[in-house]
Amino acid sequence: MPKDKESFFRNPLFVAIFLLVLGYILLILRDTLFTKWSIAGGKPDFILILTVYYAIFQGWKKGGIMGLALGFLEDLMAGRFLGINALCKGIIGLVFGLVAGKIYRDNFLVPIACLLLSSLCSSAIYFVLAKIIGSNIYFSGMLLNAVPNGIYTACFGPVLYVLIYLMNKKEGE
Amino acid sequence: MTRKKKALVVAIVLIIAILLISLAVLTTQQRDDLTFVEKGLRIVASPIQHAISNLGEKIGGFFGAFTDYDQLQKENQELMLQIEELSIANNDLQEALLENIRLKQMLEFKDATSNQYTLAAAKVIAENNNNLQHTIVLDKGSDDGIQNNMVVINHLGLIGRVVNVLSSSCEVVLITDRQSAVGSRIWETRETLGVVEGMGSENTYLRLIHMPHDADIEIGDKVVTSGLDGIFSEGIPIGTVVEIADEVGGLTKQATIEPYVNFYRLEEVFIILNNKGSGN
Repeated sequence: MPKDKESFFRNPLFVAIFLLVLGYILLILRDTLFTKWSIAGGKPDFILILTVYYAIFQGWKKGGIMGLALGFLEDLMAGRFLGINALCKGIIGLVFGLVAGKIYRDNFLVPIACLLLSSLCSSAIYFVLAKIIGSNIYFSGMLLNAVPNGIYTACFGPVLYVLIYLMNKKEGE
Repeated sequence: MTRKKKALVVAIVLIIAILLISLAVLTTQQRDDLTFVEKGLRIVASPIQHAISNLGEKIGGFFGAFTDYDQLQKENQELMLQIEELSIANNDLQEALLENIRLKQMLEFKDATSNQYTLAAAKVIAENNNNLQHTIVLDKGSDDGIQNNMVVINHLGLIGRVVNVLSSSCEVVLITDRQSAVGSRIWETRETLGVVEGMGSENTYLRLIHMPHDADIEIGDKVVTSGLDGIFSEGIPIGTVVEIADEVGGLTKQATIEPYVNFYRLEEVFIILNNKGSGN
């Protein structure tokens, strides 16, 4: 175990474990508190926030793997359709990691706009994957969820952005 | 990145995608046995869910104002009247009063059905409602005698069935879940048999399918469980018929059912431990 904060964030394995534990806690919060506090049926997608921000700072390779791991954690908590969130978040991590070089990361409004976009993309990917596995999911239902989910998710962006930004700074130092 | 490397990355991504899609297809149904990782994650989450659920109730009122403005306005008007009549100028007291009414209804229901069922009261501590599944987590588990496939109801009607049981909590698939299927009949005629299934996608309406083409069914008819599926005992109220249509091909009919239970406001429920009526 690293002795201080700085060496902790330099070790990719500890960062991955930290993000998975954080993701786990945020998933519990989503299914409890944020179910009661849902707005227009929407809930924040914390796993998406962690995936997108991690991908923006760490690139497509690490972003894709982290998205896959965090998405699979979400699948394990849901207990059904294992792999659908993993694939969805993996793709998002990969894509947003690829465009990361073109993003001005120090302006925190840009990654928040990315979150809104990624949330809509995530809903679309989720819809396509659900159709592939044979679920009779409705497009209208997906659309009704996607917009409030996206806005709610983007609202939580700044909080987690600061955390990932600082973590990345420590890691990069 | 060289062309060879790019091709390798694309191949790896495709293989992972195919593996994950295959896994998702294999796990579309609720499993009776979870893996030790899933069980571990839920066991650790359970006490946190209990704690957050209690905390959420205390501060939920504040956020409730944003989520259900119309309902709050209506309740507020009622509260104002009660404040005038009873001089109760305290929101906490009103909350306790509402809870008391709810629990009283449940107690009356428990007493009324004591000849038929042995019931265990449980509290909803978490929900997982999305486009693909509608489930809730209750604060009762195997320590309280809860087992898989036990039926969950409240004083209004059928809610779902238990699918995954841990020591101090259990997961319930709601009848609004797309994978849910409940054998049912029309209460008025008692002869029309069909299957009630969930419509998913945040939709709390249900669909009654596989009814004979000449089924004697009308809008406003009550739908109850038939007991023929071997899980849900006979006669539990499900909902009211609001729409009737022919299924594709015209050989069978289907109907849209408005459930009696408000699935957006589930707080306390009953688990049927024992059906004395049928001896289950």
